[in-house]
Amino acid sequence: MHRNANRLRWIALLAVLLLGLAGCGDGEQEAASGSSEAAGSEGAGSEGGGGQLLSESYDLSGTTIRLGSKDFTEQLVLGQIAKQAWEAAGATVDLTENLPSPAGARDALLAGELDAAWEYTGTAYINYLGHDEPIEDPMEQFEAVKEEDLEENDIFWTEPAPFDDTYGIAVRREFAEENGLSTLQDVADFVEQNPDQASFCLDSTFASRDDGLPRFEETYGVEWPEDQQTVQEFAAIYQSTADGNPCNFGEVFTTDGRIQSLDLALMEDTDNAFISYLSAVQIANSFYEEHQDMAGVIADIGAPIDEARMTELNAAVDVDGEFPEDVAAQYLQEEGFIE
Amino acid sequence: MTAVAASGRTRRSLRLARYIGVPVSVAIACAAMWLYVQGQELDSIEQRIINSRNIRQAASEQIEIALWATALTLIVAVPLGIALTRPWARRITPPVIAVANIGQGFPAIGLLFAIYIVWIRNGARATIIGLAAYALLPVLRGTMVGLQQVDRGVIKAARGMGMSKVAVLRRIELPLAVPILLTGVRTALVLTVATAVLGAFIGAGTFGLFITSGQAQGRQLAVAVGSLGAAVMAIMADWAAGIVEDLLRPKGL
Repeated sequence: MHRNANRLRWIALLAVLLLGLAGCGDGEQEAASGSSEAAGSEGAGSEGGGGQLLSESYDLSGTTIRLGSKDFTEQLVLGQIAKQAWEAAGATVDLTENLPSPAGARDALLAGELDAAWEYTGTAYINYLGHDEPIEDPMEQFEAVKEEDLEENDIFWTEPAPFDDTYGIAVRREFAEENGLSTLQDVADFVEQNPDQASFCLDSTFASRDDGLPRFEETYGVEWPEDQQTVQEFAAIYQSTADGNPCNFGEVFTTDGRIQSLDLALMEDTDNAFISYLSAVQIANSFYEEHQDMAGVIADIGAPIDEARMTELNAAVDVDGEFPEDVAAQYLQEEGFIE
Repeated sequence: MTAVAASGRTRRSLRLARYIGVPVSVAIACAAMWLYVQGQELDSIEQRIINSRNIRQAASEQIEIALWATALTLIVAVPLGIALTRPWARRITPPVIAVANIGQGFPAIGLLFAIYIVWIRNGARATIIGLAAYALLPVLRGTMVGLQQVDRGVIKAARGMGMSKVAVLRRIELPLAVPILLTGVRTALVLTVATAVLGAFIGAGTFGLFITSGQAQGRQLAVAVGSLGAAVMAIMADWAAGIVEDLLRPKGL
């Protein structure tokens, strides 16, 4: 009996492992098929949005740009958008994807292995420039980052896109409705009144940085019970929260496509507890000075991406299973940046 | 005769040096780190990660996970090892070893995530199961090799004297296999203590949490403290297991 159960367990585990291996295989294929698909999709027809064709306004011909992107969906999509946009302006772009979060791309940039990489203002201000008190106004924080990074690290920042991918707390829809939760204030009140149901999945970063949980607690005047917190890897939080197992509350990124796909209710941050994370491209300053059109391209293509748009693009990958390069190409066509 | 006595003495003094030397060096390393951290001005992020409460908690989580995982490994691997070395099990041995191999061949982090997502939504328990699977092979191997290296002639002689198969296993094979078996246990313990840091990814805490949060936020000091903590755990586990090994090893072997 015991051995049977044991064998079953092994078979189950074996099946899981095989699934895992299959998953890895997919990833490789995805990476391998990337460049060819991106090239092929440019031929598809487009309606043309409000933007002007990049090839008409900018000239980056003869430039080879080494671009990096981090290891999560939003970065993969943004990386592809920048790559295809610069290519449309005539550049050759050598894109390295899936660099480890948060600092893999940044380290490579500082080491001279990359010329450019997308980055978030909040991350740069807190993590790279070492401040522990964030600046509340998004553009002020951007200006501070831009100035300090140029001075200290010789890194140039392009204009940021308007979307803000900040922290949020999400709850599975059913639980939110049962308990009448729609804002972070509701969450704070709930935690106060039902500490035993306030199980919360969060990642180590959110738990310890000033602009994370401590700021939520301070802003909404509540202390989240320590014994209700499960600190885990960010990727695990969404499923843990969607299933309500082990957590009723989960820390999320506000533009993550999984909020939509797992039907999570994102709590509204009425009192602005969470600071801003605007996205812009960092470019090694010496490289930027020789190729200033790079920044113009990014400013143009970033402008139409608000929160809703970014979430949509992320969801196209995470929910509909499209390739980031296709999503990027579609975006650029819809906005009329490429043909 | 004197040479044997002399070598016995050196071995004893070497052992004594190990018993004392290891904890002393570990204590020195910890003290040095403590002094260094005291001398630094920690910002609020570092203060939230590096504090005595977190260190105590990480240490207890890591020990608890490792002990349970080791216990679970032993409960599964030792009887399995004994069974697989019986003559009637010859044919099923290779496939079972192959499965045990997968446990170790698969990246530990993937194993933990798989167990967490599809099976046990509790970080500590999922980590214990994952680490037990991970440590299964060394202990299984240790048990089997230990039993297989017992001189066949001795076993035949015992059978010839009229001992039953069970008596041979209990009174001859197992005692003779103890040293190698214990080495397997020691390996499992060190492996699980050291690998337990991966539990941080699925909510099991441990010193891995210092490493992941320090790394995520560019606070190298937190990474250093977490790494030292994890290393100290593994070294002390090896030290303690070494003492137990010396105590349990049958005299005269």
